[in-house]
Amino acid sequence: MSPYLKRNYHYYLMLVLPIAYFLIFKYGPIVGNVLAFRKYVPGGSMYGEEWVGLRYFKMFWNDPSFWSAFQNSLVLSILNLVISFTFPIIFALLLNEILGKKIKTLIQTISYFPNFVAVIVVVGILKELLSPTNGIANDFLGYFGVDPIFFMNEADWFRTIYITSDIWQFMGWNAIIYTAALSSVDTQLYEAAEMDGAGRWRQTISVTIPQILPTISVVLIISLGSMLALGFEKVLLLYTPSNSTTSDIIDTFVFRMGLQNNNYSYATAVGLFGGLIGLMLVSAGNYLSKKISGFSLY
Amino acid sequence: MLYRRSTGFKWFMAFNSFVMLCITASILFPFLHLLSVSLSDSGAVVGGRVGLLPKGFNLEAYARVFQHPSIIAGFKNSIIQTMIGTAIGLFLLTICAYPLSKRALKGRKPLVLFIMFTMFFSGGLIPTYMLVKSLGLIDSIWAIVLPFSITPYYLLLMMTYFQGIPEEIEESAMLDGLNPFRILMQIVLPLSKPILAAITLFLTVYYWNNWFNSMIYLNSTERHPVMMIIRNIIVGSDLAGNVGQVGDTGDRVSTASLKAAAIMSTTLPIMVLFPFTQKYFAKGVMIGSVKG
Repeated sequence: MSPYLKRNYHYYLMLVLPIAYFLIFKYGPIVGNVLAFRKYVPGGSMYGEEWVGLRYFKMFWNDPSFWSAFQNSLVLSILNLVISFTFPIIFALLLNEILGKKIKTLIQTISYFPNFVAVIVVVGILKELLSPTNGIANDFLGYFGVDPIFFMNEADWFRTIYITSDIWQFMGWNAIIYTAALSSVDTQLYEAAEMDGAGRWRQTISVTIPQILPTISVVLIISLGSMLALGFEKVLLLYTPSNSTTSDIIDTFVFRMGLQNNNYSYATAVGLFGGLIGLMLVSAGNYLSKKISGFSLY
Repeated sequence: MLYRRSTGFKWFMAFNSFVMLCITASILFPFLHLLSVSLSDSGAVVGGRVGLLPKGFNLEAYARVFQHPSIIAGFKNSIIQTMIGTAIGLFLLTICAYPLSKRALKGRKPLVLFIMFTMFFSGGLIPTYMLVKSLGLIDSIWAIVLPFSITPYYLLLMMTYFQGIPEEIEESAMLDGLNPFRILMQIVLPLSKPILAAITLFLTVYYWNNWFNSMIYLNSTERHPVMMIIRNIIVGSDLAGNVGQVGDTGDRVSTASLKAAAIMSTTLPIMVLFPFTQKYFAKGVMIGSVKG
């Protein structure tokens, strides 16, 4: 054994199990994507039995319900990106202006509690609040003579419900990184700005925002990259046949085609297509980040 | 500071305090409302008279929820799945992150790349399902636990933390003849309590809250965790089978109260733990952001 190995072999021993884990549970399914090009026979291999080329890709390419899911994914992702990205910044900036340190911590703690609440609970709460029979939202509208709205069943309301509940659940948590950046801004900068006669508003524009800009750009790039990674479980729980014109996204389409209709190869092809677009977005985001801020994920 | 005396600033402060009050209220309101629905009698709930405080206070809904055999079994399953999942995850993450935190380790770079790649491109839902199926894990707890044990993001947090521990401490232990296993156990881990606590909590919450994997991998309903049972109640596909039967008309407890009680009872463990553990959650994110 070489002296290097003699000194370090323990480290490699530790890595045996994790590497086996990644090979089996992560690379196994990555290789398993060949199923998109192969025909699956019930009871047969997870990698399929026979090459069929791009047959399944052509199938979804010509499937209008795939394109509707694709479009829904895109619209929801973009709306979600724009809104879920700006709210935490505004919240962190406003929270930063609150004077008492204790009250600040209390507000922050309450604000990120929903992050730990189960999706199923969030949907349960939504159903209760928005229920057409005894939900508080419809009770309120009732005072103005508005007829009960079946919020959870209406395609027009799906996106609003999805995004509003996302803000409710994640705004506080996503603001933590900005709060941390804000608390590390050098107070001398504010004092200097004050000497130059800058008011509070001016200080925010000229000192605070430039100081947290690097954090903002890094978060923006990461969110751009993971844009298509919507909260699949929440969409699946909110999905009903009557709101499917807006709530069917790529992930729910894959779930339905694959696990409910057992069209494994077809669903794998759609999933692979979505995954490749995601990979392209991440690479593009990373490239931009390297160019602009010198920061990169890999 | 001068600007604090201006009237504009005072107006802003008043406005800002109001905004903060609205935000905290809107976060707390759904929980308080649900709690009071779960504690109210059926007349008040159906009549829509329940706001922030319970009307016709009673614990009947909770009594029924906790008498329900599938919910009790669900709690048991959830506890087992959460404990095993968290323990395995923590173990694998530690033995993976520690060697990879050694910058001088030969082959470290390609290994990190090998792992991080899975963060950006994964097998996807169907291939993962096919793998679990062909490994014969369907309907076993391992289908819930194993495929999700190592999250690359948590691995990054841990690696970053381990790299922050001064190397001199480990070097002197090495000179004393301790091998890396013992250094990890006796020196590094005791110094890493904050990150271990944060990751334990993340994993616990993940496994406790998970229902989707149970839905696709566990066929036997008697193995379902409580979140999966709540899902069946809420989505309504299994309303009659679960709580509907006990919420007959003319009953003191309404179906809405039963649903609310079921939801509250699964969220309560997190609510009770949260105030004591929240500083670790925040710390966990902060450690990750140091590098970013």
